[in-house]
Amino acid sequence: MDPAASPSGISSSSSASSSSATRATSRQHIYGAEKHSDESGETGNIKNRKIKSSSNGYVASYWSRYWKHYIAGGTVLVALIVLIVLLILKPWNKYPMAPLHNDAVKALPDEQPIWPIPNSFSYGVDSVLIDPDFHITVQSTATGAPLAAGSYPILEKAIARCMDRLQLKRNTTISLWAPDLESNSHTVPSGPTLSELVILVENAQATLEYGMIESYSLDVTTKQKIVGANTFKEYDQGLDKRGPGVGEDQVEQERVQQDGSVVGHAVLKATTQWGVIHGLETFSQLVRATPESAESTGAIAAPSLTQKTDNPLDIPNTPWSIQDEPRYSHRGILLDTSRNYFPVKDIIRTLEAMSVVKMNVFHWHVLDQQSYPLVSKTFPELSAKGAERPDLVYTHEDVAAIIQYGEERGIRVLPEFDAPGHTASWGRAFPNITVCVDKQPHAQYAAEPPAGQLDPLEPFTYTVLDGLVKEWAAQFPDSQVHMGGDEVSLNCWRSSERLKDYIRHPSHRKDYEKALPPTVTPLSSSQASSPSKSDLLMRRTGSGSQSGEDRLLEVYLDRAVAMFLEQDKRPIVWEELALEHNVKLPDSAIVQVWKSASNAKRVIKQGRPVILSSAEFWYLDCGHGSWLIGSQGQSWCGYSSWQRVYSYRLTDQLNAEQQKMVYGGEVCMWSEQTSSSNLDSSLWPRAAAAAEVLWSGTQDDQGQNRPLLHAAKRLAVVRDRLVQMGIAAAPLFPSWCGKHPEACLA
Amino acid sequence: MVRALYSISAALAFASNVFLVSLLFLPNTTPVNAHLWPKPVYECHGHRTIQLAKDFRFLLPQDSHPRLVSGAARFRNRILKSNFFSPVPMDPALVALEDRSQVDDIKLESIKIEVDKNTSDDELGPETDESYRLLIATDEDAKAPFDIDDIQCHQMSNNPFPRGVRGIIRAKSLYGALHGMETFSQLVTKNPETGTKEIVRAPIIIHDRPLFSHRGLMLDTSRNYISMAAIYRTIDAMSMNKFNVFHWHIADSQSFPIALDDQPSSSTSFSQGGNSKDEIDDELPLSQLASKGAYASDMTYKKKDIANIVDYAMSRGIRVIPEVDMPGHAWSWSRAFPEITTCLDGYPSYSRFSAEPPSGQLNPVVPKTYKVVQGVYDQILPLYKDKYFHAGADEVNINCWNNTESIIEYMKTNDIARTDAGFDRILNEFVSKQHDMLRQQGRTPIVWEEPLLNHELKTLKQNKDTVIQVWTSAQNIKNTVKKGYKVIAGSADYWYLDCGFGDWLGNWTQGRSWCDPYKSWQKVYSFNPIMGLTEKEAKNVLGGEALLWSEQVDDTNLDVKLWPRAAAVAEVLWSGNSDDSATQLWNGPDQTLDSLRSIEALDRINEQRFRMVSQHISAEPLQPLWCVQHPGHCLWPIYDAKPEGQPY
Repeated sequence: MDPAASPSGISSSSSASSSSATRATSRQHIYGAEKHSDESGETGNIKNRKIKSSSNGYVASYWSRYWKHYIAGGTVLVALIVLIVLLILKPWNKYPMAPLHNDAVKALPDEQPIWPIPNSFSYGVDSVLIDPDFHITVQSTATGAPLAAGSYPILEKAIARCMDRLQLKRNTTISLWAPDLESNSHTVPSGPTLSELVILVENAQATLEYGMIESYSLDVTTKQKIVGANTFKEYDQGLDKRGPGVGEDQVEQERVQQDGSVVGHAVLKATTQWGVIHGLETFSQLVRATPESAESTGAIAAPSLTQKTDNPLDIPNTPWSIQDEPRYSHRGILLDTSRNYFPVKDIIRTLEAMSVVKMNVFHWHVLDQQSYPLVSKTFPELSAKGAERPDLVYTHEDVAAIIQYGEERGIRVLPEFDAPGHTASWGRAFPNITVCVDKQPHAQYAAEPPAGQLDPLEPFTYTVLDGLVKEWAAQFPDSQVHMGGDEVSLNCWRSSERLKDYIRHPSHRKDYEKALPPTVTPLSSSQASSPSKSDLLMRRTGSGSQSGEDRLLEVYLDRAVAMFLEQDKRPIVWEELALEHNVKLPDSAIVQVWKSASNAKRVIKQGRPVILSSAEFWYLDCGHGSWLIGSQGQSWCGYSSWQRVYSYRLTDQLNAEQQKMVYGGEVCMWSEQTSSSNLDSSLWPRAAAAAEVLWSGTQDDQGQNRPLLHAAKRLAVVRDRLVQMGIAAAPLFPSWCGKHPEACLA
Repeated sequence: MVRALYSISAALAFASNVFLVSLLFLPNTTPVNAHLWPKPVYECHGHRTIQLAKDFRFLLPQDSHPRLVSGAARFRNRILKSNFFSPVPMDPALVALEDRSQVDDIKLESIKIEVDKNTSDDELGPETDESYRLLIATDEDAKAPFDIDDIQCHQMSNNPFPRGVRGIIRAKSLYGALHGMETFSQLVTKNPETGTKEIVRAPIIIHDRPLFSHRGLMLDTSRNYISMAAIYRTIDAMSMNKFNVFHWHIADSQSFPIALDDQPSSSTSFSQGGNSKDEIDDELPLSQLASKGAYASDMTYKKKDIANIVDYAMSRGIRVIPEVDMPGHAWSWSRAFPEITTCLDGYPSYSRFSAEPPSGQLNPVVPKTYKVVQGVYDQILPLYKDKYFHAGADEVNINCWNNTESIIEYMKTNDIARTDAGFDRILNEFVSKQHDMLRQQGRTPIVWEEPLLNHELKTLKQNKDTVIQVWTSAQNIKNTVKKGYKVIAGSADYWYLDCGFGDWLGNWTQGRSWCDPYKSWQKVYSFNPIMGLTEKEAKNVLGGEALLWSEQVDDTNLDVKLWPRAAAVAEVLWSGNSDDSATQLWNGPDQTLDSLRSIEALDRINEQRFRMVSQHISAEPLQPLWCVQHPGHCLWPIYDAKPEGQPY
C-alpha cells in the first residue's frame, strides 16, 4: 500500500530540495515559536507568536498592495532573480547525497561487516578456525611479559565480555541478513586453528577522559611476523607511525607447530586499555559463525533462525590487518531522564549498545524542568519534592553503578546540570531560588511547560548551587561537566519585579550584586598551579554593549562557572550562550551546537571548540508530532532517517584549522515522548549510524565518500547484533531487503 | 533471531510492568481516577466510593457459551490481579464531591451477566449486536430504572447504599457482555494506600453501543515477520480498546508466510482457468509458497497457528479477516510458482512495475494461476468463519502486464485493445474469477479502492455487495458510497500508523516516508470517517481501520507503533471524537478543532496508555510524566486557560 513510495523515492532532486526547503522554513517557523522563544526576549509570548505565524498574512497584504507592480513591471524579472539566486545558492546541494555506490572506497567482506568501519584494513583469502580452547592473554608491550593478575581489572572484564560474545555466536542464530542465507552453501570451515589472541598493551590503567588514546591494531594471520626489536618502540612513539608491517627488517614465515601443522596467530596492540576494548569488539565482529547446513539438519529448505546450535566459529579472509583510531574523540548519546524517567537498567542497556558501536560519551541530561530525579545528599529535598515520584530517582549507588558500567566499556559519563533555564523542578523544594514557576501561559515563559528558572539575584541560589556542584564533582569523576545554558527565557526573569528592576536600572545593580557571593572563588595554591587554570581567562561571546538581561545571565554564569572550575571541571555549554547572548565564558568552555548545523562555524570563529548535535540531523526524538495537546501540529523538528543521520558532515564548510575545533558529536534523545517502552527502538540502529560518522568519518582515508549501500548492509547486521544482545533495535526495512540490498537501495 | 525478538518483547513487557508496579505509589490519599477508553456513548456517575470484594465474581447465566465463561474468568483474573491505578489525578472538583465514608462497608460482591438468549449469536459477525448496559447501584435502583432507556443521572446519583450494592451487565450478545466486562475492569482501580480494589464515583450507569460495526486494525505480516506471540499480544490490546476486526494482511510481495500443505494430484476443484486447453491436475506443491517464499522456516504461520489466532480473537470479540493480496504484490509467489507470476524485476527497474521492491504480479492469462489461487483459498477459508474475505487488488500495475508477452499475446488473440480499458478487462477477468471462488464458499469479498475507483471493474458493478476499503483520502470515501458500495474507511493522511519514519529505500538522505509526516494521536483522533456525508451515505460506511504496514516494523517496535495511537482510532469508531458524537457523527458535521474532545480525551488516553503498559503492551508515552500528572498544564498555548497561580 505504498503508492507514492516509488515516486517519493525517486523524484528528482530539485523537487526534493524544494519540498525540503519548504519544510525547513516551516520548521524554522515552528521552531521560532516553540523552542526559540526567547531569542529577542519578547518572542516567546503569544502576541509575538501571532506576528510570527501570520507572516503569510504579511506576505499576502504586501502582495495585495503591490501586485500590480509585479504584474506590470517584473514578474519575469522576479522569477529570473529567484532562479539565479537558487542556482547560485544551490540549496539542494547543501547536503549532497552520500553516494550509493563508490567503488573507490574499499569494502569490507560481506561476512565481516565491522561497524564502525576501521580506518585502514586489509584482508586476504585464507581463514582460521577458532579453537574450542581459544583464549585471550594480556602482555605488556614494554616487556612482553604477561601483566600481573589483578593489575588490569577493566581489561579482564572486557576479555570476559568478548568470550561471551563468541559463545553467543556459537549458540545462537545466524544473521537474518547474511547474504548467503538463501543459497545454503555453507561449508564447514577448515584451516589452521587459532587458539590465542595476544593483547599487547602499554598502559592498562589509563585515565578515562576526553582525548584518551583509543587506537588499536589487530592482526590475524597464519604467518608470523619476525619483527625487529625496535618495532614495538617505533609503535610506541606515536600514533603516526603505528601499525604493523612498518619495519623493513621484518620477515614473514608461517607459524608451524612441532608436528608440522600451521597455526593461526592473532595480536591486538593498543596503547591503552580503551584501545584494547575497541579492538576486542572488532575482533568479535571478525568472527563468523557457520551454522550447519539446512540439508544436513533435515530442515525444510528455508533455514531456521531459532535453532540452538553449536556453530563452528572461524575468521575468514585472513590475513587480516587492521589499524584503527577514532576520527573524533567525543562520540556520544544524550539521554534526557527528566521528561520521562528511565530505570537504571535502561541506561545500562544503552551503555552496552554504545560499546558495540564504539561510542564513548554518555551525556546524561539528568535534570530538567519536569522532574529532578537525582538524589542529593546535601539537599535531599530536591529529589524528594522534585522527582515525578519519590521512588523515580537515581540514588548515589545508582549513579556509581552507571559510572562503573560505563568505565568498564570505555564510556565517560558526562552529567548535565541544565541551568539557569529548565529548572522548574528545583523550585519544588526551594521556591525562593526560582522565579516564574508554572507561570501561564507557559509559552511566554519557557520553551515548554512547566516554566521556571533560577533566580540569579537570590543569594540562596548560590548556596544550593555551591553545595550541589561540590557533591556532583565528587560523584562524577569526568573532568568535563555540561552546565546547560540553553533556552533561557529572559521574559521569565522580566516577570519578577526584582529582576526587572535589575535589568532596567543599571544604577541599582551594585546593590543587588553586593548580597551575592563573589564572582571568582579564590583558588588554592595547588589548583592555581594547574595549567588548566589559565583557562580562567574569560571572554565575552559578543561584542558591543550588553543588555540588562544578558548582564543578569552573566551574574549567574560568572558564579556557576567559577564553582565548576574550582572543582577542576571543564564546562560545556549549549550554543545559545555563545551565539545568542553576550556573556562572559571561559576560553576553555566547549560549546554544544544543537540548532542549525551551520552554527558550528559561527562558534568556532569565536575560537571555541564544539560538540555537534544539530537537530537537523541528530535529534532522534523528532518527528513524533506535537506532544502539547490541542494541536494537530508536528514536532518542531523532523524525523531523521538513518540515511540522514549518516549524512551529517561535521566538518562541512570548515577549513583544516577549524576542523580541529570539532571535538565530536552526540545524538540526542529527548524524552518528552520516549520512555522505557520505546527507548531502544527510537535510539537504535540510528544512533549506530552516527557512531560510524564519529568513529570513521563520512569519508575514508582517501577522501572518498562512504557509500550508503555498504553502510546499509552492515547497519542491518548491526541491528541484528543489537537485537541478539537484547536491545530492541528497530528494523530498517523489510527483511527481504536484507537479502536484496541492491533492489531496495536504489 | 525470532527467539531473540521474543525474549526482548517479553523482557520489555516484564520490565515495563515492574516499572509500572513501582510507579504505583502516590503520596496522598485522594481518590484514584478511573477513566474509560473508549468513552461510552452514555455514562453517568455518582460520587461514592465502594470496594470490590476480595472474592468478587461474575455470575453467569446457566449454559453460558464457553466464550463467555472463559471471558469472565479472564476478566476476573485481570481485575483481581491487576495493581494498576491511574497516574492521572482525579479532577479536584470531583475529589471534593467524592464520599468515601462507605468504602469499607459497601462491597461489590458480584456482577450479574445477563445475555439476551434470543438474539445472542454464538458466532461473531458483522451483524452482531455489541451493545451492553452496565449498572452498579443499590438493590432498588438495580431493579427499577435499569430498563428505562432514557434514564437520567440525577435519579440515581444521590442514593446512598443502605443495604449493599448490585452490579449487572446486560447485553444482547455474549460479545456485548465481553465489552461490558472490559468497561467494568477499567472502572476498578487499586487504592495505593490501602491496597484494596475500589470503584469510585458510584453508582454508575453505562449504556453503550458502537457507532460502527467494523472497527478494525490492519497488520501487515509480510514486509517483516511478526511473531505469533506479538499477534496474540496485539489482539489482547485490541480487546482492551473494543476493536472487533483484525484485518490480517498476511501475505504480500516480500514474503509468503502461510505454511500450506501440498495439494495432491487430481483434486483440483476448479476448472475455470481461462481458455484452458488440456489441464492436468498435477500435484500442486503449495507448501513451497512458504518454504521458498517465507523468510525462514520458523517465520511462517501454520494452519493451526491461524486457526488458533482466529479462535483467540473470537474469544475476545474480534473477527479475523485474512488478506492474501493479489494480483499485485505477489513476488513472493514466484519462488514456488514462477510460471504464474510476471515482471519479477528487482533492482533497478522495480519502479516500473510496482510501488516498492520487489515487483511481481500474478499472471491472469495463465490457467495455473487460478489453480494455485483456488488451492490457497481451499486451505485458508476453512480456517475461519467470517462472512468476509479480503481479496486485496490494490496497486495493480498495468505497465507490468503491458510488458508481459503472454498477456499481450492473449489480448491479441481475444481482440482486446492494449489500452487502459483493455487492461481493465484483463483485471476484471482475474478479479471476477477470484471473487467467484470466494463467493462459491460463501464469502463476500472486500477489495481495496482501486478496482472500483481506478479501474471501474465490471464485476464490481454486478456485485454491489462487495465491500470497498478506502485507504487514500476522505474524498474517496464519499466517491465510493455515492456509487452505492459499503465502505471500510481509512486514510493514509490520518490512520496510517507506519508513516513518518523516513524513506526506507535508497540513498536519499532527505528522504521522507511517502505518507509523511508521522500521525500524532491528535491527528489520528481528528479523523471522522463520515465527515461530509449525508445521513444516507453515512449508513454505507461500515466503519474503519487503523493500518500498520510493516516495512519498518517488527516485534521490536510493533507495540510502540500501534499503541496508544490505534486506541484513538478505536474511540473514534466506538463513540466518536466529539462530545456530541452520537448525534453529530451521524449528521456528518464539518468539525473544527474546537469541537473535538481531544483535550478531554488526553487524560483518558494517557491513562489508557499506562493501563496497556500494565498489561504488558509496550505502548509509547504521549507526554512527559509530569504532564500526565498535571492535567491541563501541557496544552498548546492557545488552549492555555489555566489561570495564573492556581495550584493544580
